[in-house]
Parts: sequence; C-alpha cells; structure tokens
Amino acid sequence: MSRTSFAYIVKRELYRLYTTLSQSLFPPIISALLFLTIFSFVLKDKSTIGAPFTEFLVPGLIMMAAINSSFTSTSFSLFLSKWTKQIQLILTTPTSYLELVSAYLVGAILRSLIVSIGIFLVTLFFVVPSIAHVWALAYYFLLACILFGSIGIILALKAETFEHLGVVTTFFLTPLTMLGGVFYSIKDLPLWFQKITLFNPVFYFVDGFRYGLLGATDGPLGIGIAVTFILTATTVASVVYLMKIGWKVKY
Amino acid sequence: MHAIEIKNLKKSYKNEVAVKDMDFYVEKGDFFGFIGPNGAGKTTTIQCIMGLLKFDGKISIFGNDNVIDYIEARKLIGFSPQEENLDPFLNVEQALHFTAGYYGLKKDKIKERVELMLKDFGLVKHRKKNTRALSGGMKRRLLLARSLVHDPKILILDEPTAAMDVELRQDFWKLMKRINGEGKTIMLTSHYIEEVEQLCNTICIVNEGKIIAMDKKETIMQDLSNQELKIKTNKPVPSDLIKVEACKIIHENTHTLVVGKDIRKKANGIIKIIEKAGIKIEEIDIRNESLEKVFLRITQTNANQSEALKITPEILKDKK
Ligand SMILES: Nc1ncnc2c1ncn2[C@@H]1O[C@H](COP(=O)(O)OP(=O)(O)O)[C@@H](O)[C@H]1O
Ligand SMILES: [Mg+2]
Repeated sequence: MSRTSFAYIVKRELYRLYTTLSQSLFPPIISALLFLTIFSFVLKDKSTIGAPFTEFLVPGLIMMAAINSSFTSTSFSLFLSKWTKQIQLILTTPTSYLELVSAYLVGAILRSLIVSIGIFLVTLFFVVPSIAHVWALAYYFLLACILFGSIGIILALKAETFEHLGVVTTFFLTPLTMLGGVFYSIKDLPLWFQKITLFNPVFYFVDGFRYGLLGATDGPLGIGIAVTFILTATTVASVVYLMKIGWKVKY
Repeated sequence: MHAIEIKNLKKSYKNEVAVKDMDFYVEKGDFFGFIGPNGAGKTTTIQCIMGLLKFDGKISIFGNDNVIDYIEARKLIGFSPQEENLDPFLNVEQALHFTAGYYGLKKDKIKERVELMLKDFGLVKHRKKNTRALSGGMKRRLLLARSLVHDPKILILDEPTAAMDVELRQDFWKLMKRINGEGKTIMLTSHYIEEVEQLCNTICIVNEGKIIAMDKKETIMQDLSNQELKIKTNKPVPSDLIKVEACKIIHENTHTLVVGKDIRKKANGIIKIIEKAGIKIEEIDIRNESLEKVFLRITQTNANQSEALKITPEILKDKK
C-alpha cells in the first residue's frame, strides 16, 4: 500500500484548511467566545450537575465545534472534489479506498483539533478547567470527529448541490447539537424530553466529553460508550463500503 | 504482454448503451489512435480503462486487472482527461507536487520530477500561478505534465489538443513523438484526424460504441481508402465516355474526377479512352484519400448506407 498517497491527501486537506483559515477557524472560536461571554454574565451563579455553569458549558462548546468542524471538513472538501472533478484525479491514482477515507477523516480530526484548541485557549479567560479523565476526552473527541466526518463523507457523496449540504446542517446537525445538552443538563428537562434526548447521539458525545473534563455525567456512561462506539464503527464501515463500490461517484 | 487489453467491454448508462462490445488491445510501445465521431464512446471506453466507471468485461494493464489489481494497474498509467480537473486550491507547481505524492513517489523523486515537468512543458514561468488563472492552452499543458509526473509506462490522452492553438499543437506533437520514442505507450483520442494521421501507428475507428476498423495506419489507408484520379483536359469529357466498375465519376467542365478502389491500376485504361476520343489531357493527379475522408466516409456509411460516397464539385477544383 502506498502510504504516501494517504500522507499527501492529508497534506492537501491541511493546505486547504490553511488557505481558508478565516472561514474555518475563526467563526467557531468567535461564536464560542460570544456564548461564553453572554452566559458567564447571565448564568454566573447557576450550578449545573455540580459545576458552575461556565465550566459546564466549556466541554459542550468544544464538542459542538468539533462535530461541526469534522462534518464541514469532509463534506465540503469531498463535495468540492466532486464539483471540480478532483475526485477523478484521486481515483485514477494508486490510492486504496481505505486510504482515501482515512485521509479525509484524519483531515477532519486535525481541523477539529485546531479549532478545539483555539476554543480551549479562549475559555481560559473565563475558567481554568480541570481535566478529570484524559481517556474520555480523547475517546469522545476522536469518535465524534470520525463519526461526523464519516457522515460528512456520505452526504458529500449524496449531495448534488451545495444547498443540499446547507440543508443538512440547518435541519439535522444544528438541531441535534442544540438539543444535545450543550447548554443545559437534560435533568432540567421534562421526563419525556429526557427520554427523547437519549436517542440523540450528540448527547452522548457532549456528555462523555464533559465527563472527561468535569468528572460528572448527565446520562449513563456505559451506554454512552457503547452507543458512540457502535454508531461510529457502523458508519465508518458503510463509508468504506460506499467508496469501494463508487456510490454516486462511479456510474 | 499487451500494454492495454480490453475484452468484451460493455457499458450502458441509465438509458443508453455507450459501448456495445469492444475487444482490442494496445501493444507495448505503440502510438494508438482512438477516433470516432462525437458520442462514439471513446471517453466512456477510456473512463472504463481508468476505473472511473463500472463496466462489464475485463480490462488489464500489463496483465494487471484494473478492478482487482487496481493499485498496480493505476501506477502504470498517466491520464489526461477530456474535461480538465485541476485542483483550484493549488498553483501549477503544487498541482504537480501533490499528484506525484498521490502516486506514491518519494520526496526527492517528487522534487526532481516536478522540476523536469515544469521545464519540459514550458511551465517554469507559470509555476506560482493558481491553476484557475491559466489559459485553456496552459491548462492542457499542465494536465499533460501532470499525467507524466510519475513517469508512467502508458499515457492515455482524451482529446488533449482540444483547446490548443496551432502553434501549441505543433509543440505538443513533437513532444508526444519524443515521449513515444522513449518507449512509452500512448493512447490518444482526438477529433483532429490530421493529428492522429501524423502521430499514430495503429488506428482504431469507433462508431456507436463499436469498433468499425482497426489496424496499422498504412493497412487502414490501403484497405479503406479510395483513390482519386483527377484529369484536366483541353475540352469537356462527354459524361457517357468513361465507365469504370465500382467507381464514381464526376465531370465539371474540363475537370474529371474518378473515385474508387484500385484507381492506379485502372488509370491507364481511362487515359487511353479519353485520348482515343480526341481529347487532350493537360494534367493528371492520382492520390489516396486522406484519413479524414476515409474516416468521414466510413463513419457516415455506418450511419447512413446511401451516402457511401460524398463527393462535391468543390473537390474537383482543390489543387495543391
Ligand atoms: N454520464 C453520462 N450519462 C449518460 N450518458 C452518457 C454519459 N456520458 C456519455 N454518455 C453517452 O454515451 C455515449 C458515448 O459518449 P462518450 O463516451 O462521451 O463519446 P465520445 O467521447 O466518443 O464523444 C454518448 O451517446 C453520450 O451521450
Ligand atoms: Mg469524448
């Protein structure tokens, strides 16, 4: 297997990120900054699952940004690739499907990492967070990037126009993240709403990542690990399969 | 072992059969011309070879199946597509650099090859230009440089000279001849028949998804081409004077044109008949049809049997 093909696709993803830094890095950091500013004034004294609200909010904001960045990274990159027929260049080079998928996902992870570090640095103006469980931070962060990066790939393959991607972001991704417990503990919700939330995968990522920082959870930890793992594994497997059969790419 | 071998290739799009049943191979070191009218299925065939389409049949590249051993097969081919697919985020130099990387070249090798390609294709001055800022001709050059950056054994070019002006095209021809001379196998499609006639050793003519003729260029020209006998006389030749089997005869004033097979052998007889009738012959010219005419005639024959020979009075006057 030509490992360098993988390396150069990742390199190109990073280069693309670098040339579009003002669109990809600053907006999520600025919106995180705005959320923090507003909530730190308004809800300063509110305590949520045993932590001051600002501290409660930070992991949610980072996870939200990571999910969005991963999804945007793969979906836009691959869609543009289809649009400019770049994908046809890649598909004529000795690049395996596994390599291609992993390169896009690594691109998504790196982009999310850069954005998240940016947000983390900004939050230091408001709270100095403690880190309770490093493994949980790493696990949930990586899985979120891989899952939503993979969803981005599927949608980029499916989409025929840029608007399709926008529609998915507006009607699917944003509601899921907004209702995924970034801004509130689900225990503050009516019981029926809590039950529905348990079907929202974003909730497990936010809650698990928060567990990594604060050491406290909102929902059942074991179920969270299982749900996120199974969901991610099946989605990645589907992406590799779809790439292999050339779904929506090879007719 | 053949450079490219295609067996029972069939390809349909949703509601259209683009390639019916193609069977051919391209010999190692050959310069293979793949020609046919628009919509004949050239691009489709090439995209099957490149693994960009699903298809029925079997394609191998130096013995590597292009579906099963696709990694090996792809390493051996450089490809310049009909529609440009340059990376809008990169400049000329980067486009070459990244492509070499996708092909798995080592770092030092990449540097060396990129410099060589920039020089060979006259792109040194444009190396920092974004690919979007290039003119049509320059884009073509870059596509070509890109297809050669990993030093492949086979080069597949789909209408590479479409957007080139005459001068650039001539440069390109020289370059192609050199590359083929260095031992690379080239498969070329073009709608400039003249280009194929100049460059290629083997010619494959396709129409409506089928091969209608394929052979060495000389053989194709011999077997398929008609000859033309042009005679200029001091007074008009009566239209019922000469009768030649399976030939078309056109009279216009003092010009007479006879078109058909084996005219060379029949010429003497024709001349004698004219001279016997007391008409003086001022000029005689016999020549083979150009590939272009052969091509037009046989692709049209295929589409419309009744128009086997298309001769207009203008041909009579064209003299070189
Ligand atoms: N993506 C496609 N979808 C449907 N039909 C197509 C597509 N591409 C080509 N065709 C059809 O297949 C036939 C062969 O096209 P093509 O291979 O592009 O011919 P050529 O390259 O010889 O001009 C044409 O009739 C064309 O309309
Ligand atoms: Mg074509």
